[in-house]
Amino acid sequence: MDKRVDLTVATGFLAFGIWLLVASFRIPQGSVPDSIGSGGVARILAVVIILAAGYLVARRLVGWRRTAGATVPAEGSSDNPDHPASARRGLGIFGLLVAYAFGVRYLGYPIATPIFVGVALYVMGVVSWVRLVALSVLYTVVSYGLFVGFFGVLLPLGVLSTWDYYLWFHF
Amino acid sequence: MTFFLHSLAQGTAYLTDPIFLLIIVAGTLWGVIGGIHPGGSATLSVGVALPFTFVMDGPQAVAFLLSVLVGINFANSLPSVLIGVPGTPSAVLTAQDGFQLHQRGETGTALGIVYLASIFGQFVSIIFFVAFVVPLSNLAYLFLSPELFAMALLGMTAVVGLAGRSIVKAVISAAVGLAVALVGLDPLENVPRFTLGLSDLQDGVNPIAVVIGLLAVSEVIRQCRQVYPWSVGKIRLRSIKFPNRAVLRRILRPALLGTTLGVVIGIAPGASAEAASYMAYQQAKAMSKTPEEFGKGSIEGIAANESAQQASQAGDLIPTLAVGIPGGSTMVLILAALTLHGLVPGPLLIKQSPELLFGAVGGLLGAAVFLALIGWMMAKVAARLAGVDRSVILVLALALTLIGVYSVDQSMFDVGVCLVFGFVGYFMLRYGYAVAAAALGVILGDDIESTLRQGILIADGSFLTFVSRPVTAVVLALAAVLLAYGIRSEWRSRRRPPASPDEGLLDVEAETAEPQSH
Repeated sequence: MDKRVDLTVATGFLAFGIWLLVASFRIPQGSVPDSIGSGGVARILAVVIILAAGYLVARRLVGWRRTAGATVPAEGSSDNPDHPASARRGLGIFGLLVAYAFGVRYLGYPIATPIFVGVALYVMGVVSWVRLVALSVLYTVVSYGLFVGFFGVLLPLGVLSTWDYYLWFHF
Repeated sequence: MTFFLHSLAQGTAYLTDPIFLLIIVAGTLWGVIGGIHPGGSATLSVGVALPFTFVMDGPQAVAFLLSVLVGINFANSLPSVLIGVPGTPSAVLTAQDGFQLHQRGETGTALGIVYLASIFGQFVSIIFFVAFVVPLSNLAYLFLSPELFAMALLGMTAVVGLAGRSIVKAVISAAVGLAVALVGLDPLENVPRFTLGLSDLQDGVNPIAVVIGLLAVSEVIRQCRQVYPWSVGKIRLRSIKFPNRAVLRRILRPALLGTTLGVVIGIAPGASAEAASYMAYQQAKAMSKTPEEFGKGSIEGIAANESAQQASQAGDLIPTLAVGIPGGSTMVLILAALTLHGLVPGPLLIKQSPELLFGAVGGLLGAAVFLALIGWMMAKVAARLAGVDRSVILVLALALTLIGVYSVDQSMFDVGVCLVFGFVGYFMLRYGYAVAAAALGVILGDDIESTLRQGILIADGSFLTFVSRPVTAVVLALAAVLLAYGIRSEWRSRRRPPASPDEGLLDVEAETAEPQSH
């Protein structure tokens, strides 16, 4: 694993711990306070996080020069060593997910979903246009039918909201 | 004894309900599809399925998720035999022996043993499950707030202490999960906390969205880093023959051994299906008249491994339902599903909602019967299913996860929460922070805080109540021992020099980094 990212993640948790500690003192007092109080557990957790994350940051910084290069022994899950890995692809798919979540809200599920599925499949290496279109449309139709028609979920329609009478299966 | 028989009868009675049966069939098929794909994970399959439980009641939800697990534990060994790559890590040893048999042209024998040992392990472990869970759940009558706090803390330390490579990171994960659970109204004083000024956070974060983000979305993003197909050669279905009686006689003993060990090891919090299957395999080898066959196509090895995998699930379920201590991330998801239905995980769960126990029995039994009926046919067509493009599965799983999370409360805010925790969970997974501990913290956090504060209130503000009450003191001592064990294990593994320059740079798979049930 990359020690720079490991350090960044630990620093992120350290920052979260500090924020939690500060925020725990800003909680308004209730009318019947108990001995721990509304912020008591949060303060305990914040101290634990600060101490543990602080230790990780310090350990990484102290041992920084002991390891040549950025790679150190993995502590989490690594990739299959027999195949190339791309962090960009993984995070790219996540970026698409975020865009999809916004897209569902504004464009509506029936429009945003086939676009997301098609683009994500393309990013994942599916290059046949027939497969891309077929899978995108098929997934959208089946999932829409299942959730709206069977489970009764009202999916966001976005710009299609004027068509809601037809798209929510009122017939 | 009466409640034991009553539980079995009630569980069986559920199987007369057509909707319940349909749910079990859907769950088992889902599990088979999820388990059959090499390199997948049980957590991912259960995580994607979890939001669908919003249309079910508590017993149906438990039965659905358990039947998913039964399907996974059966199907994860099919690619092991056919292409030598396990569907999930617990099927690694089946890959070793099953693939050898397949290469020797004995595909039918290997698949037949997988099928029979899975069914055997499943049926027998249900008896063990009910026999253990009933007396354990009766302990709940001894529990007040201090004991409930201690039990919840024990659950947390079990997951933290056995989390894997870095106990410090596991502690951070658990603390972060607990902190997330604090968001919203204070349960005692009714004042808002950590809401960031957002009205959507007034009632706290939706634990389902957080847990799915941490356990499922993060795992899919991690898997999207690599794109590679599994090549499945052409297999003639007609050439796959069911094993003969001589083979069946040989597998009976290892299957019974695997089932017993699976249940016993599954009960230990933090122990996994992998641990159960490895131990059963080693014991079967030690007791075998032909130990030299192990690793080279041993039918006894496959039988022990398969039955242990299935049985460990029933074992894992015992502490989860009886005392609210989940054994791993898939059991955390089951607890999350219960919160969706307003049920509070903990020692009082069975006492307050015995129907969950009946639903669990019905789910395990129904899935076992369903697999007994169609499992052999599924085993034969597995090769075709395993060849489905992995990229397509991953993308559709992501899309389905998001719509599932949205459907729980029809809230786009929950989708955003899920994505945020998916992103955080990805880095936690990659850098050794136990996502299962964080997810469990989110599920138990509310309960831990309430019982701690109520426990102190009933003792007039004295913290001594946690050491003066015998049950509380014992449980807290056990939690301390588990934590100490985890620290000691990590300290020893850090002192041990790597055997080769590469060791530690590349670990095997995500599942080895933290306890996963199945």
